[in-house]
Parts: sequence; C-alpha cells; structure tokens
Amino acid sequence: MAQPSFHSEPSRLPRGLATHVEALAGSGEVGDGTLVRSAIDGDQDAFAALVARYQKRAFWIAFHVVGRVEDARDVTQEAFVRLHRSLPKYDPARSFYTWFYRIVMNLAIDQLRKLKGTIATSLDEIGALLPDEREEAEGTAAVELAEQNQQVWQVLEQLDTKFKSVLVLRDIHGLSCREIAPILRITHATARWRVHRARQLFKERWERIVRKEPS
Amino acid sequence: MSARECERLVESLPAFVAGETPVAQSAAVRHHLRDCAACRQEASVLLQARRALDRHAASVRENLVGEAQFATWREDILAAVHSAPVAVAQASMWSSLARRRAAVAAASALLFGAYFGSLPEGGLFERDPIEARGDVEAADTFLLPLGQERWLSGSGGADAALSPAHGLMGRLSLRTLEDESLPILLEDSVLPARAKARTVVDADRR
Repeated sequence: MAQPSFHSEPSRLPRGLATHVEALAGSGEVGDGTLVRSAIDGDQDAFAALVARYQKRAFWIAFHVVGRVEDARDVTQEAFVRLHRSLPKYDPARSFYTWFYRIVMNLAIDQLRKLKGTIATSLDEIGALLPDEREEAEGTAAVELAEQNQQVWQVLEQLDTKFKSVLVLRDIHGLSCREIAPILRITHATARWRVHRARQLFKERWERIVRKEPS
Repeated sequence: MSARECERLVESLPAFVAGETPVAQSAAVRHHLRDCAACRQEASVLLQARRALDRHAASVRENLVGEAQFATWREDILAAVHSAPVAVAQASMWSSLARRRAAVAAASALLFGAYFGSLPEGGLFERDPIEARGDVEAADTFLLPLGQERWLSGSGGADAALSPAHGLMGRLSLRTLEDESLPILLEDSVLPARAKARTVVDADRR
C-alpha cells in the first residue's frame, strides 16, 4: 500500500485553503472513508480536506476538556499528526470521526492531567470574554452572560474527567451515547449512566455556585 | 405524591429536561410535575443549569476564536504533518509497544551480563559446584568414596553425608552443627556397621 508522501516536501502550504480542498471538505458526497483512502494513496489535498472538515470540532472538544485555547490548539495539532501517522491502520468498516475523536479525547485528557493545579488560568482566559468597560451601554446582559460562563467553567472544572468528557460530548457536541461509547472505550450502558450522572452532578454544583454568588 | 414516586421521577428528570425521554414517559413526567411542587423545583433548576451550559457553549464558540485564527492554525497543522520526523512506514514498524519491548530486552541482557560477568571464577558453566563451596574443604579429608554413608563427628563441627542419589558429581549436603555439646561418638545402636568402624579409626587418629 502506498504511503502518504507528506514527508518529502517540508515547505508550508500557501495561506488559506485552496478552492478544490474547500470544495472537497464541504462536499457531502465525498465521505470520510474516501478522503482517508485518497490520503493513504498520497493525495495531500484529501488530508487537507480532512483537516478542514474536523479541525474546529476537534478544537472545541479539546477546549471544553482542557479549558485553555493554547492547549486545545496544541492538542488538535498533535491529534492530526497522529491521525496522519495512523491512517493505514484505519478500519473503513468503522466510523472515521469516532476513531479521530478518540485520539483527540485521549490527548485532551492527558493534557488535562498535566495541567491539574493550573486551572485558574482558564478562568482568566474566559474572563477575557467580558465586555470592554467602554461598551457599558450594552453592558448588563453581556456581563451577566460572562458571569454565567465563568460559573459554568467553574462547574466543569470541578467535575471528574470521566463525567466531564461525556458531558462535553453529549450536551455540548451533541453526540449520541452510541457514538460516545467507542470514543471513550466504554459500553453503551456505561455511557448512558455516565451522562445521567454527569448531568446530576453538573446541576448540583451549578446550583451551589449560583446560590453562593447571587447576581 | 408518594416519596417513592418522586424519587423515581427525579431520576428521569435529567433526560426529560434534555428532551430524551420517550413520548409516553414524557407525558407521565409532565403529569407528575403538574401536581408536585418539589419535583417542579428540581426540574426548574435542572433546566436552568442546562440552559447555562448551552449558552456557555454557544458564547465561547462565537467569541473565543475567529475564522482567521482557525485558518492560521490549519496551516500550522499541515506544516506539522509535513515536517513530522517519523515516516509512516517506520512508525508502523516501530510502534511504541515494540520500542518498549526492545528497551526491556536490552536492559535485561545488560543486567544478565553484568551479573555473570562479575562472578569471581569466570563463566557460569566452568565452575565446579563442589570446589566453590569453601565450607566443604574442611571436611574433605574425611570423605569416603562416592556412595558411602559417613557420619563424621569431631572438632570440625561439620557433618557431611554422601549418598548415591546425589549423582556422579558427589554433591554434598552439609549441615553445620550448631550444638557444640553434641557427643563426639554417637551411640553404637544408631551407627551402621561400616560407619562404626570409621568412627573407631577416627578415635585412634586422635
């Protein structure tokens, strides 16, 4: 089987997406499996299309787990590098995005473990979302929203990783428990139970924080 | 409303609030909530928490990272893939598991070599297992030919016995006599005839 030939040309690609790559990424007719096969055969555009198709989703999953933009960006980049290395191992009978999200989730959880103890930074980062003081005219609603965001972050950061993971995948990214199970390497029943428990825990802690800090 | 009924309903509320309960179950939950203020309060808090999570996700997506930023990162990703140091074929051959196994094997070989290389008498298979036992030498002069039993007693404080079962190498099983007060000559009734003669010779020597 021919291997991708990305290693032969270390130069950077031109800025922005080429039109045909953009079309390939946005095309509903070209499935992930087709792009993977083309990438394995050395088609660089096919891999670029996969990146374009999954970059944002991978980033947001990583971000909601690790809580920091820089770390989520690094996790996403590393996930694509590993994906590229592992392309020949892809089993076309299985869902591509489930396989790829597993790589992302594993890297994000590893990163989160390394970050334990430096959690405050992510709250600062979210604080940057607060409106500028000059925008006071539109202010109150935006400030309230930013405060609520901070409260949600506090709750997410308090949650155990296994509950946080399912909550992010199910309630933020809308994946079903059947999709979550293979990503986290758990059974469907376990995924359902964890989602249920994660929602309960989220509600309990959110309520505690909101009552402590009445706006 | 019974406490058990409320307990059962509260369990189903997270899924109900997320819109995941089947139609029939949803109708039952709604019916219960109409009549139960406590469960209504619980459902209300769950709904607020859920909305806060949804708002948070939407807000972060809209405000945190722009399209231009994503475009730059996409270039970085493709550049990183281009310049990845390990080629695909090599990566599949040298998986992390294989690397780990090779490292363990190399470390084991090193330890094996270091241990046996440090032995005082050369190679493992060149050593004579009998001569290497310094404690045997003291009793050596009293040994009888292979296969003959012997009870030795005297000032040496060592008791050596040979048995045909020990094979041609005539391995020794040694037992140090810890009790110095053990009688020098064993009682006649205990000794076999040949050993009895030997003990007499030993006594004569002394």
